[in-house]
Amino acid sequence: MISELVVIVVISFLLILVLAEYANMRRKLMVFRAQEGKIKHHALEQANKIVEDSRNKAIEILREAKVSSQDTQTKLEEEINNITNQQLNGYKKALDQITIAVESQVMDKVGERFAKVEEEIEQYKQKRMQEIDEQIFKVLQDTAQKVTGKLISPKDHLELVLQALQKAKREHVF
Amino acid sequence: MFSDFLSQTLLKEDVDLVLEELELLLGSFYGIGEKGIKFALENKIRKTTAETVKSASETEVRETKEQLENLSVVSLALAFEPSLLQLKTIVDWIRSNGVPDCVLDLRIDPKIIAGAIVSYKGKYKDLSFQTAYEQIPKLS
Repeated sequence: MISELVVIVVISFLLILVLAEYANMRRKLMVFRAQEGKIKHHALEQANKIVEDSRNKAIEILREAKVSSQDTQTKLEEEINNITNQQLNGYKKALDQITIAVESQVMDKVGERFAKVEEEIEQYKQKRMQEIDEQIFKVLQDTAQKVTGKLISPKDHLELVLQALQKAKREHVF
Repeated sequence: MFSDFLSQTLLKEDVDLVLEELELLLGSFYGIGEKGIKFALENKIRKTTAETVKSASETEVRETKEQLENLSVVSLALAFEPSLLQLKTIVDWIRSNGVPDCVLDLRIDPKIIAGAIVSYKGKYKDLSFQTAYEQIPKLS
């Protein structure tokens, strides 16, 4: 009976020890869980902060990059404008020189052609004047011939023929 | 007979016609009926020609034909169309002044105005007024 009692006491003691250990472990678990939450919360905050910082940094970089790009674009445009203006000025100058040269050549050609045309016109004018003179003379001559021929009577015609025959005889035609 | 023909003909074309008639007669001397000389004289040639040759022999006709063929032809260009009388005057003048057996080869050309252009045996003389007009100096 005693032995049983001792066994019971021992078992009870052991049970108390186990329970105490259990309580202790449970308390530690609770503390641990509490710390775990804090750590997680802290870690989350840290992560959020890192993300936020990173985002801000990225935005900043992008803004700077954009500004830099705008500056570069502006400079590039200015440079292109300068080069373009220089080239344009060069082309314009060259074009002016070519134009002046071509104009000079054209004027020379026009001058030569004009002189030639003037000469041709003068020749044509002289020729036409001569033709007109000849035509006028021919008209006058024809008119005079017709008028004279019609004004001569048959009797006078015969007389003129006989005179012509006399002259022919004198010149030994027969 | 030749002198008769000569007095009747003034132009070469008249002589040519007479020569055709004489040729026709020469072919009819020995014919009979419509081919005979009588028929030819009455029907195939002009009355003036028939009258001139009616009593002639073939030999006389042949000789006359030869004489007519050998007439001297004077070419003459005139400005006007002469009457028969004027033409006879011209031909008579030429016959009396160096070409007794002449007939005219006549051409009418009003452009020559007056006077004449004469051509005979290769000799040519322009005695027209046209030449005189052309020699007037130009106005210019």
